[in-house]
Amino acid sequence: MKKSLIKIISLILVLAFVFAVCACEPAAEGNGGGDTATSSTETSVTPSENGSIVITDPPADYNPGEQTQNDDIYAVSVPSYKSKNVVLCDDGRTDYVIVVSKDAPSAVYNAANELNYLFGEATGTMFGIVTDDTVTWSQNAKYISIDATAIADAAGVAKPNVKYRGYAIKTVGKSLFLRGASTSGSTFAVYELLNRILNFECYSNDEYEIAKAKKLDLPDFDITDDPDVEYVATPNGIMETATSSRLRYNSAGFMYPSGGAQWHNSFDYIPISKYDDENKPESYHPKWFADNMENLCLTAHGDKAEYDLLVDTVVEGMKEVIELYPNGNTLTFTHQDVGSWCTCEACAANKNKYGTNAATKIMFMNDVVEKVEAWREENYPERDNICYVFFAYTSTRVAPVKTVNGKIVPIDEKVTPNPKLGVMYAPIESDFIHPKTAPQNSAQYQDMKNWKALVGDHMYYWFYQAYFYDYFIPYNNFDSMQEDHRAMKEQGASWIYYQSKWNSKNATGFEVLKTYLESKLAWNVDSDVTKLTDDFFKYYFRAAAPYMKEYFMSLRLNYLNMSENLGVGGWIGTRINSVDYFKYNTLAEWKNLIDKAYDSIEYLKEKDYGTYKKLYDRIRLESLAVRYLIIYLYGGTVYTSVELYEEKLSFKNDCTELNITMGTEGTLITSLWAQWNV
Amino acid sequence: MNKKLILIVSLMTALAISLAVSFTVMGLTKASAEGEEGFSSVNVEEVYEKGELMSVPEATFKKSGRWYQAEPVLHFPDGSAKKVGDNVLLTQFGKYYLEYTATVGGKTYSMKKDFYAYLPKFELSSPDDEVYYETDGVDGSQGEMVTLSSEQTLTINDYFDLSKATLAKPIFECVVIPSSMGTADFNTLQVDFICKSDETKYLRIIANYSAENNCTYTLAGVQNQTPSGYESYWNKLHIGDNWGAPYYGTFAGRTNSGYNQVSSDVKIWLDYSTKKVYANVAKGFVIDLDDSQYFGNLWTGFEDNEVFLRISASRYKGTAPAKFLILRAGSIDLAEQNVFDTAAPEITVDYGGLDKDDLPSGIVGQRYKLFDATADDYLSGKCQVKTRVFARVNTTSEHEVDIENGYFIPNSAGKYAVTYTAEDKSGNAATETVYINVEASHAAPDMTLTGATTTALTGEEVKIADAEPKNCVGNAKIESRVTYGENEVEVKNGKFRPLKAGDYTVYLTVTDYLGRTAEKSYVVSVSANSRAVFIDDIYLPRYLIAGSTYTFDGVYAYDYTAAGNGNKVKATLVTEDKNGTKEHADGKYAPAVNDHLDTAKVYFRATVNGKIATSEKFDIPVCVVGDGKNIDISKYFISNSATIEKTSTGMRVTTLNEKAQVEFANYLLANGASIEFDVDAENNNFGKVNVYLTDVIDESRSIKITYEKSSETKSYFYVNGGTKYEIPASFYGQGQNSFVYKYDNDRLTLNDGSNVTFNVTKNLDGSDFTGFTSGKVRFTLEFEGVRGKSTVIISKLSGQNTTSVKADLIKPRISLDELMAFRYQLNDVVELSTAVAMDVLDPNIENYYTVTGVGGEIVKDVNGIELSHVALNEKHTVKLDKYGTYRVLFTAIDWNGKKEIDFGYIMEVVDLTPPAIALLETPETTARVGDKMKVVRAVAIDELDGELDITVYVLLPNGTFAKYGTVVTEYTMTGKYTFWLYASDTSGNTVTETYEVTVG
Repeated sequence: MKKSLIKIISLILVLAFVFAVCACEPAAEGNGGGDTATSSTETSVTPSENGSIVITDPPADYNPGEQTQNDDIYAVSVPSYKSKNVVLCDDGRTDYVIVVSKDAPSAVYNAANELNYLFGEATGTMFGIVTDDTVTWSQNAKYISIDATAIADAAGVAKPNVKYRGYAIKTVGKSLFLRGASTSGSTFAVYELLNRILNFECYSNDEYEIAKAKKLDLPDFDITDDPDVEYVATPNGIMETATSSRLRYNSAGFMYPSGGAQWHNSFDYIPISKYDDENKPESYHPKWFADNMENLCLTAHGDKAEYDLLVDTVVEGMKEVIELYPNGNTLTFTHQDVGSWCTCEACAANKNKYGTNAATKIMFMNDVVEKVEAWREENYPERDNICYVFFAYTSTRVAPVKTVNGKIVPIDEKVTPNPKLGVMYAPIESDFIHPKTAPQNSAQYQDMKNWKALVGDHMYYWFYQAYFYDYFIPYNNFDSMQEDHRAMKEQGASWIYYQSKWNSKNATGFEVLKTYLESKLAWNVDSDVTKLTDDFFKYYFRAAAPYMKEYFMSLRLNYLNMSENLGVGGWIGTRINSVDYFKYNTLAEWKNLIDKAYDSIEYLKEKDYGTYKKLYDRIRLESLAVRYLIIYLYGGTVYTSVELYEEKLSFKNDCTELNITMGTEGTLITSLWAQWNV
Repeated sequence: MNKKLILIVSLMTALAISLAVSFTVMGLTKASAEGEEGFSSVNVEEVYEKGELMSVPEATFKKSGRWYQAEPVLHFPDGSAKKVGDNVLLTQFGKYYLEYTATVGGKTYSMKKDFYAYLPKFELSSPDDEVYYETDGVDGSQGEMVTLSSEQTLTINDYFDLSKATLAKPIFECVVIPSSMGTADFNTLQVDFICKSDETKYLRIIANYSAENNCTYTLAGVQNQTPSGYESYWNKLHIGDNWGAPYYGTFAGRTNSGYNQVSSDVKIWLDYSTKKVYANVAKGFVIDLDDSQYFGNLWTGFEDNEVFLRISASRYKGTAPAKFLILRAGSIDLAEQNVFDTAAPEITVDYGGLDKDDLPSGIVGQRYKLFDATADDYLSGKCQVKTRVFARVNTTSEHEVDIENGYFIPNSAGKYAVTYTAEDKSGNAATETVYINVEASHAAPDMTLTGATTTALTGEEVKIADAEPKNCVGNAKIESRVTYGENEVEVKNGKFRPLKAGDYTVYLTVTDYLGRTAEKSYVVSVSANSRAVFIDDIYLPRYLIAGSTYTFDGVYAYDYTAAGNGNKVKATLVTEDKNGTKEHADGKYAPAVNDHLDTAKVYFRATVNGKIATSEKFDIPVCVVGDGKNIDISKYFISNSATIEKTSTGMRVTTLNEKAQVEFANYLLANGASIEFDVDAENNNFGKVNVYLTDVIDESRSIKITYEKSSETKSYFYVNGGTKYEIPASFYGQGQNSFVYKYDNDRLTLNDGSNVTFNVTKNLDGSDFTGFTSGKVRFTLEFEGVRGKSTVIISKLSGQNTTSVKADLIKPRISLDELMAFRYQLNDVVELSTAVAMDVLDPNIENYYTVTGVGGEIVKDVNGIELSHVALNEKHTVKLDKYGTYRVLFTAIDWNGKKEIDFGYIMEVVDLTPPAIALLETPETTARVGDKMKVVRAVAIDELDGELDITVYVLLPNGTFAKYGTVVTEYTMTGKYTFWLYASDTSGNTVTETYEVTVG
């Protein structure tokens, strides 16, 4: 979209919103007052002789005193903050305008629109948006500058020296400057500002809190916020784009072949169909492929000429990729999703020498990156931030290191990574229920240290948190996630992807809470998880929070019992869908708690159906895990065949309404319906 | 429906509707006219819109120079009413009236004001959204312009008949108008066509725009289908995702599409006859709603195909609302903006099968039952019907007659009118008048009896005489009863069975429409019988298998001789076959005949006082099939009109005769009954194969399954002549599958990979189907539409290969009558289920069941009977007095020694009582960082498991759990530590005790 068009749209949106706010206010009062007056004076009328009059009195056993809840406790208030004696807004009016660069990309306008949208909702006030070529900064000027602007430069607010997602918020004179290390950082500065002056907090797609205020003073801030981790990718498919932004998720600028895959893409660089067709001798290079054809052979079976050609071909592919993504900063060359590696003599020799297939991978990448970087420096000297990432995954998980004088070092110079190399460490075989610092994961924790010693802060962590064979069974990593984030930070995390039910539109097992907590931990690994969890339950489940929290704690205790007393490991492939681990009585108790949760919001059905439905669906979403386990493990023993069919049908309908689209990582939910014959 | 909704063209026209604005003051005589007393004037509009907030004017009442406040009560169109304040929301459409009342001096005065709330044809869920008719829309087009916010809907309050949809015209068409040309404001448009009579039924169309591909992906499905769309290019079926069947159509504005207007619109087409949905200018295929390739639940249409539309949008990209111009919505007139109902409801009178023009006459003084009536309105739905009766209509003495409990009593001869009136919510009234002729007098009812039996023997049925009514008004009803002394004797199907000697009096009563009656009687003189009598039905197989030993259920005769008192007399089985006439005291019989299908005569004898009584004699054909180890399966297929030939691929059944049938000689187990067959493409000169499954005891429980020839790659499948479903099997040898189905638990499943299931709800005779109660069915296959040589090849029947195999290699199957495998509580008393076991080829398998307890011991029933090797049809009751698992194991063994022994169920007696934890000391409440944790001493006791281990988990201040003793042993941070003492019994009952320690 052209920038000028974006500006126009933004201005129109501002005007439209201002108009809407102005237009709505009296109407809202009128409607609200009218409705209230009407209902307060309505009384029942004795039935007429034809008996058709509706009795509007509540039933005799109705006791509103018992059912009415105090929903005011969910309203957030304006926090105290250091301010200047300058009015930021008052009763819908403001002297402030948002200033963006005349060359601002759309992301900056998005940040401005988010500020206007959320600030407008809280205060009824919206700011105009102008470009920096139309204004001049002075001590008395009233601007909110977002991202890099001429007035920020004039006011001496430089780009903060923080990680990609970080930002600074500074008050200079009567102006406020929100400046990120990137446009994403500038957007996150908006959310931080809103948090500090209006207690803004986002929990999910349809739940955020923000205070209401008529009058606010200009904050007097000098804040620089540097997140613990540079990039973090959303773990599942639940969060909408806007929500991901509000939770400050921002992945790296990955680059990969056109039409190819972001991961497991080595065959996208070297397609089998192109290079293993003996009918095309000009491009026939069978030595480029592993013995079992499941991966590339990165030694070309020890054939030097073939190896050089392979390097050159990959180099050419990477050049195309770099040109394809002018703003990309992370190029992936990652092996296929298999556990095998080439067993040819040359590969086997490397493995024997270095103890790991990763040695071959590093040597190959060093050769490739050296050539690509030479080309890059000549053609794109300004793009010196590209990191070339390969997998430390399955057959390449172990790093080729040794310890010398207590220090971890490469085994030799051949396996010393090029400084531009990054490693994507994905220990899929480990236990994610326990932290990497726990004894169960000692080997993987050592891997993290080893790879950190090789590539420094170019560590990309790919962790897992779901049973991918069955999306309906919760995976309890609530007791490891903070410790793991601390470990990842300590071991040079640049990027984190905590893979969960990534390809389902919605999921049970407290996935929404996980997403929320991880967004916080990836920013600050020492976040107060207890408070965050309590707040989440309070605002996400409201009146149902006590029961849902009890279920949540009981669920975790059950997993702890499995782990500590029944010896069940935390590998994501562990088959825990067993009557040994989920006793019927335990499931029945959880179902009972969920029923109580439904009961606790019943009062909202009449009072505020929209909120009721929202809460109902949230409880319903978490009920799926329990109901699924009962059907799966005990359906034949606790239900009649008719009841079981009805339970399955009800489960299916709920999944459909809640947009559950996958049953396992590899199968559509419809496979389950076919299996259940519903 | 012959009634049409009349849509008034404009609001001005609407105002011309006859809306009576009445002004009624009750209790006033001259006062108001003279201005001495009366209500103040109030200003109420004549027309409002549904959903509008009405301002209620105040009114006062003046009397004797003083003013009194009048209270307003609003009467809603549905008849409800409530007192109202300053404002009231008009939540219904139709005719309202506002009634003001004032009470002065104990007397109530009232005034009414009528007004009307019309239904907006285009109804938005949010007042912030906008909808209006655009006469100069995109490219000059005309239609309904809509702006719709996120999570809001537009409902079109008008109907059209979805069953008339063809590919000639789309059922929906719109053009999306973005706020900025080139950029879509939203990505999904959902259009629901909702059934008027049942809003839970709908057809849903979802249009998903993809900016990347600049096209619109379409999904469709009805209420029990996940909306789906087929993408032919990738041969991919999209189910409930954001993709679908892709065709040109943009949400980003036409100029961005690069295509002309027509190709840029969103168009949906439905070919109702084939249930296929198409999209956009290409009329590209989206999905077939009744094709088992795409859906498990197939759509057969709605019962009432009148539908209305509800439209919503989603996947908004910003704050701009969705904007679109609706160009077509079925056959609904979009130019009309409001719905005014001026058509009256339709009244239907139930004449109970009588001719409206020839209704029974009334008689003066004789009460007359009125006919029931109902009323339906196009917009208001069901309406109340008021009934009134008028005497001497069209004369100067016409007057109304009282109705009491649905009857009226005419007081004079002449013409009476019964009027049925109904009023809809809009105040439109309809009247239906029925005329009744009333006579001054009419001859008394009478009857003529014929065929009366006056003598009979005890125990034998006596038919009651036929009665011919006379002088009756309307339809007459004949009832009969029989008395013996002072006792009533049961009459069934026009017969009674005298069990004692003596005189029986038969009474016959005739009752006419007016309830007038006449009675006649006669006497039957009954003498003592000298022989026993066979009364019970005798069930015998239609075919017997030679060599197999049958044990027939005990048959009894009844002794009604002079001293008999109806005692049961065990009858003896008698057979006549090639071994001569033989009696079988033990009820066992192994048929023996000379040739295949020779008959054996089977009957029973009972002797009383030296006199023999013989039951009906049954000639039963005997199949000579061999035995379990050397068998000729073709001999089981019995037909008079088809030839049977065994081949390696199956039993070839060939005929030239229309309706030729072949029956399988042995009965099949109902649950799991299945068939696999193919049609010989060379001999496919017929149209249908019908398969009948009939209960062997109650023959009214029967279903008919039909396979009908269609194209070279398709056929139709249906049950009891019902809705046809397309299946890929073919009569031409080119289908994907054989013809296969399986009956199980009242459901028929097409076992061809499609997983399509049919619930069987009716018997072939139209009565409700509730399963095959005997558990056994008779299998019959029938050819229909035979025009030449016709052959089917049956390859499998209930799992048994029906090829040229020479031994019975398939084990018997067992079906439980009731599912018992549940969880029970201690000391529950359970009546065990009986079962049926059958083998496809062996008619007399050995079978029994055994019950074992928690320790593997044989369980005794409540009467002390050991439940070991119990006959499957014997009911027993057990008390589950131990925790653990009880097992019921069924065994069935056929003549070839094939056993079904793994079949059974368990009854689990579970412990529902959780253990308890007792703290043995008071826990610490505070500690300091670095202190060792002191976990409180505690004990966990379960009443079943005894003392349990307690695991202590510590919820750390950082929100994570850690196990005490292995992971944490001391306080390492400040904050609140929560100690969770956790114990679990073997049944999964858990208990937790918690306490907190604050660490400073």
